[in-house]
Amino acid sequence: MATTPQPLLRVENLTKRYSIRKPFAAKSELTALQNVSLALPAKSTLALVGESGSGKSTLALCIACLERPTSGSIFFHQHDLATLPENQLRQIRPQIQLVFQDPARSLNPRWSALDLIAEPLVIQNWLSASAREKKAFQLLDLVALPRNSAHKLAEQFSGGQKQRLALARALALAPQLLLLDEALSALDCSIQAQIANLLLDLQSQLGLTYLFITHDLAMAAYLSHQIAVMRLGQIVESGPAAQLLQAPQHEATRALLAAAPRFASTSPIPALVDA
Amino acid sequence: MGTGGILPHARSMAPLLEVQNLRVAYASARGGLTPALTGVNFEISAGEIVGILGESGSGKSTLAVALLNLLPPNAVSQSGAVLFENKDLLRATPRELQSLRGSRLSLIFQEPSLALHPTLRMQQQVTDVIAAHTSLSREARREKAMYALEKVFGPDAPRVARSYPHELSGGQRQRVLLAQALACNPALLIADEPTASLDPTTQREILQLFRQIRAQLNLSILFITHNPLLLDALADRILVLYAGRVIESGPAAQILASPQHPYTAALLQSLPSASAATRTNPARHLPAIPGEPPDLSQPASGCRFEPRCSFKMPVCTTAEPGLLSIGQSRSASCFKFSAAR
Repeated sequence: MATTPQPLLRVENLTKRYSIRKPFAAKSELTALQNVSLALPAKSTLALVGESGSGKSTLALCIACLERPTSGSIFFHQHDLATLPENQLRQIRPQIQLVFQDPARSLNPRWSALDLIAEPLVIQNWLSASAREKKAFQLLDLVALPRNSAHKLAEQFSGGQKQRLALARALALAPQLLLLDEALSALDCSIQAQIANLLLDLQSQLGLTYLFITHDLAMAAYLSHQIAVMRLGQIVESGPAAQLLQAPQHEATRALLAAAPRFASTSPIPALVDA
Repeated sequence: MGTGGILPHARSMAPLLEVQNLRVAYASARGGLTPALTGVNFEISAGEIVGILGESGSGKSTLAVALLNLLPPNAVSQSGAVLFENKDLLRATPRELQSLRGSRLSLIFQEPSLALHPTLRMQQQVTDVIAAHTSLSREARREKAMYALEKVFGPDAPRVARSYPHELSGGQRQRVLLAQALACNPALLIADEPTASLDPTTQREILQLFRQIRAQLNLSILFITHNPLLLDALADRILVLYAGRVIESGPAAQILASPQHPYTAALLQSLPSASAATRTNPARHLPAIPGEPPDLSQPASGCRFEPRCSFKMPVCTTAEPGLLSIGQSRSASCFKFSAAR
């Protein structure tokens, strides 16, 4: 253990139960996460894959401190986020940021790009107004949005550009950990590849750590060092991406692999015939 | 089968649907016209599955609603012809259209939870479609609705029939929409991204169901998607739409195996594949198509794909290539084919 670096994020035996009340029925409980453990080394990517309802997003919400777990621990640096009091959590929160699936819904359409990117800085009361604007312009550069689009409204951007904007906003507080909840799924195929490349660039440039939630196994394989497969609130299999895909052990992993859309001929697509 | 049966309609040689030079333009906010579809031609035969492949802004959803003559009021300009069962839908009366929509021509949307009434049971919602299009007795309507639900749910149909939308999963709701669409024996089903909100396992089941239904009912399907992977093993033919034009068309297997238009080829190459690539360190970039689709409200003189194309030639900025035949039942619109002749 001495040689392996301390993981940036360590989740231990995390359990999250919701109580459900239905009219005329006794109160019941739904276990969304059951004894989930994972470790995420700094500057690496872990993909969380699984069917809808397997608990992927609940796990992300717990890590983002937007849901309090029922039991278990979430170690981020030296702190256990599961038990940390609210006033101390507020200091940790900037370091963990979320990017959602559909930027058309997660960004206020009537705000300008500049205001959207600077808002986290305003909330945290970081920097002066002029320094915030300067920082926002740098963030536009970082996600390859033109500077002259700074005063355009969010609704005037295309889908791919909106997701770039969402990324710039998430990066405003210089986080260490990004939780990408289906961040590519709402985009067109040709734009998905662009944003995937941007994620890779940002990771190597800024030393970011990603938790990438997806049901696109091909994209998970492409972007991630490790993959964890969830089913019914539990991690049923996890390991290095290549190993997990080549020799899946759990039935749930095999089912996901079998369901992944792909071409009947798994041979690579032949290059364009030049006329 | 009784009165509730869904009878396969007879196969005929003439195309079931023929779209001729369809053009649609929207009024833009600044005055002016934004062309959404420019000169689209294609046909669908009985029992054929045609895939429409295109990204946001390619005009694929406009095509879906234009075929049913359901365009929104800001679609101010519309020309060409949509011939369905010897009738031009663009020139049909509202009454004629009303009797065709939902019965001979059905449409399925992407988001099943938005298409279902939240407080009506499923059986009711399927029966309502039948009531709108037939004068069957109450009993016969129920029987027909159950028959349609059995087609898509099998033995689970009675339970689903009693359920409300919130008691069903996304995949089950999509199946209910399919039952609604099939209830009145359609000849053509138009499905606009029907699996986009579903996870891969459910997606696969729904695609499987589409194949089964086509085989059982000899139904024609127009399957609209942005994801080429979904069309493999589903579509017979593919039309690739880009910026409101058909830029490539041909048999599905051929297009997916050897795309000829630079856009189609680049799109297929930009997809990661679970079997081939896993992350290397440092990670290799995906061969993404640079840039974004063009803004159609700005008229362009050349090829619409030229700004993003890696095969561009001087001619591409000055003229727009037409759709050229590039072999048996294949065509593509690119100057590299006309240059070769």
